[in-house]
Amino acid sequence: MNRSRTTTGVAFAAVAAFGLTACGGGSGGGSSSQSAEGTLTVAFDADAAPTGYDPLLYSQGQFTFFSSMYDALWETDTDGVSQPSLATGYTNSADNLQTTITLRDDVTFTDGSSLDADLVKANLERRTDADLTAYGAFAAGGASEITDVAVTDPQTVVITWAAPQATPENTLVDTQGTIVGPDGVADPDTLETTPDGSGAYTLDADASTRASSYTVTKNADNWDADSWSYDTIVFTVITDAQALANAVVSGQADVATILDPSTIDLVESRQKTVSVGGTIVGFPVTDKTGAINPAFGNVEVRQALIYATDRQALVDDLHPGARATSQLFPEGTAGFDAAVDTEYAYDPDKARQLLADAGYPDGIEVNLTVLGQPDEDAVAIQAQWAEVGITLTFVTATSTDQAFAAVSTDPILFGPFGIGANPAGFVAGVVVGGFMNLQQAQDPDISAALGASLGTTGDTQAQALTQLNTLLTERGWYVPVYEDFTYAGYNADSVGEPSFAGTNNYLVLSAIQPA
Amino acid sequence: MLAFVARRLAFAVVTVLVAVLISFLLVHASDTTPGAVRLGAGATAADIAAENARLGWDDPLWQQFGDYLAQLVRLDLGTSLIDGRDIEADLASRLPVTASIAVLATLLSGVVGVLLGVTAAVRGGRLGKAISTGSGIALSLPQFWVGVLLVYVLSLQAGLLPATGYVPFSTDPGRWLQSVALPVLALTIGGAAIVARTSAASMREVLGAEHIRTLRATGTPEWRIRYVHALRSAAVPVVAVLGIQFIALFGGSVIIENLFALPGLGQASQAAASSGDFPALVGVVVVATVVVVLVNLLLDLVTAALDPKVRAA
Repeated sequence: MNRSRTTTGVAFAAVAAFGLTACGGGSGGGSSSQSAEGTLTVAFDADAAPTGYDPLLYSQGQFTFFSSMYDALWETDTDGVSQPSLATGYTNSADNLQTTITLRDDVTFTDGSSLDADLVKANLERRTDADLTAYGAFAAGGASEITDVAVTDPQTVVITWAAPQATPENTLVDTQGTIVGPDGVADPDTLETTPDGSGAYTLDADASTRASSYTVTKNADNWDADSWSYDTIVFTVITDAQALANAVVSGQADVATILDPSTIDLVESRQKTVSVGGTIVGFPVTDKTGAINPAFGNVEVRQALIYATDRQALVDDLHPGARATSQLFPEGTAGFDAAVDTEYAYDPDKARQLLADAGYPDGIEVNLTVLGQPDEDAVAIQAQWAEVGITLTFVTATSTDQAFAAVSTDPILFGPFGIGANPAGFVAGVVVGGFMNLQQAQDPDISAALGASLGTTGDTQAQALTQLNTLLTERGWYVPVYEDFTYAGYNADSVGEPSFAGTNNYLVLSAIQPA
Repeated sequence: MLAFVARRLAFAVVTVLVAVLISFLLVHASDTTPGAVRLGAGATAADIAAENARLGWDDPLWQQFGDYLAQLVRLDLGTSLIDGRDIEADLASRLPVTASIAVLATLLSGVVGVLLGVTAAVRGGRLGKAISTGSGIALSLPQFWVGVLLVYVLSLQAGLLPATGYVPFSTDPGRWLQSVALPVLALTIGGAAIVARTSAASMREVLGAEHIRTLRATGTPEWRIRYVHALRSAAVPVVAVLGIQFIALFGGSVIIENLFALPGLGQASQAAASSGDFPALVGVVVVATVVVVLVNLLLDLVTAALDPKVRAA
């Protein structure tokens, strides 16, 4: 009988011993940060480099990650202002069609070569590569189309634009202004596995696992090394929203972004958060010509989608704290106009009338590709649209490849889009010159307003931005639903409050400091 | 015994081949191609066709399969269609994560489960009923829910263990144990319950068998009857359950790896499947199959060592 008692005791002791042993190692379990020895751990909600280390394949949002290994001509500071980085300055011609940029002469890339004007030219010549998301606006037909890049001396490059660019520092900034080293430019396939940048950090490939974690270590000889606080930065990928919040609450991550709104309370109960607006959730209309769904060739049909969407109800029910909006430009940015929200407010009768005027009195059918299950927003809007005769059908993608291909197969997309501090740049690079307009649809009024937004300054530019913003809703190029806020959590015991790049929804990595 | 080992080895090789063939055929039955995946959404049909030809996708199936098998023999799993990374190196870095969790959870399930099961069978009474009821409740708890609960209590509230992440054993054994503790515990609770129930039932059956009564009649000490003779006979079904347990833990690691942000094979298979990265996906299947087959082989040998009837079968 004693033996049996012993057996039971051993069973419980085994469990206890495991737990105690697990608790005993290291420096105090999960409650302590891993950043004690010059290491900053940043957790992302998605893989920052899913197709390799060519920064130009990505949008601005990935610049937080890529800014560790690459530099850009200009980089956005915490106030949202473009600051010279690889560029030391620029001058514009009187008509804003030519920009002369001077470059630093102390910059070295990981392949050992130095920054010069030839390299900047070689980078910008890649704008013909349609796969380079960052260069969408620079390519032929883009809103910031570059027609020529000339080298006048080793540290001076002259860019000629197809349309006036009054503020090129806002165009050649962050990801769009990132410069890749000569080896990477010569053979971009090498960037799939090997970064080639001039950033303050280099990738530690042995300590990195693709799609899980990336470790970069500081290059003390880098021209900008003193601007960065940490010897090592570890980027971890935590796709589960709860796990991402847990990581910053329990100290495995110093900073976690982007937090899911459902986890904000948890993070704020133990740690701190920062947030920024500028993310517009809505439906980009990809089929403005009607090539995919003929109904979408009618502006009345596209407007009907806007009037059929009860944004306020959706925000009240599903996203308290968000802001219902009928415009693409975030509140607080130049061009935002409160009157647009009033003019294009929910009006199902008007939606029905517009459909009838367009020749669709019985309504229309619309396909929307989703990866997995449609989210709650899309389901709610499906019901709202059904009331005016718009039948929204979800097509389930079986792969991300199929989901991405929806830009060519569906009349609309749905999702959150980080418009940020420079909405005109987003319109140029994404709405007009990027994946939201693969059909290359043209609207002379939108083109003119965009051109004026990019090519002028002061009051003229302000008026042009307002007009551009209004036109995007009026012509049904985008069906806005609500402006969301981007949250990042941080461990206040280990780091100071991180800052977003102005109203852009990505953090300025170099500004993160120890507590 | 040698003939038995040879038979099991041959069966293991055939199992791996069949698994590779099935995954290979499934990949070819999908509605996309490696050229389309590699070049992305903006590629033209001509570009995709050319890329498919370059990758050998247009070759006869038997030839492609043969080439892949030849590649496998050289321990070469190829490169990713998405980012060109070496799949073998990638999976080699992920295997220890999944394996360490599955092995530790299986071992802990075995130790705890057998101790509880034997206790329930030997002691009986209220303690036996309590163990039986407790294991029944533990069995009904979803692993995901158990994981969330453990994170909340032991990590977020008590601050004893990290909620996420993985530290390699070679980096710091202590922190490695911390990093796998919660996932292992989450998996062990259900696993130990299954083993406890199995070992209790098996032990009760064996303790009532004729040869045990004979041992008692010959004056063999009770502890020796229970923990040497009876336990050895009762261990055969327990080992089988542990084998199934390991396979389930190893193959079903996606949810736990996501919950604890662990860079293991489950995470790799999810990423490969969602991105259409065929070589990476088949690579995960191959590695997982080989591991499972090897573990099964090991368990077969253990079972054979415990039970002479198995060797004769």
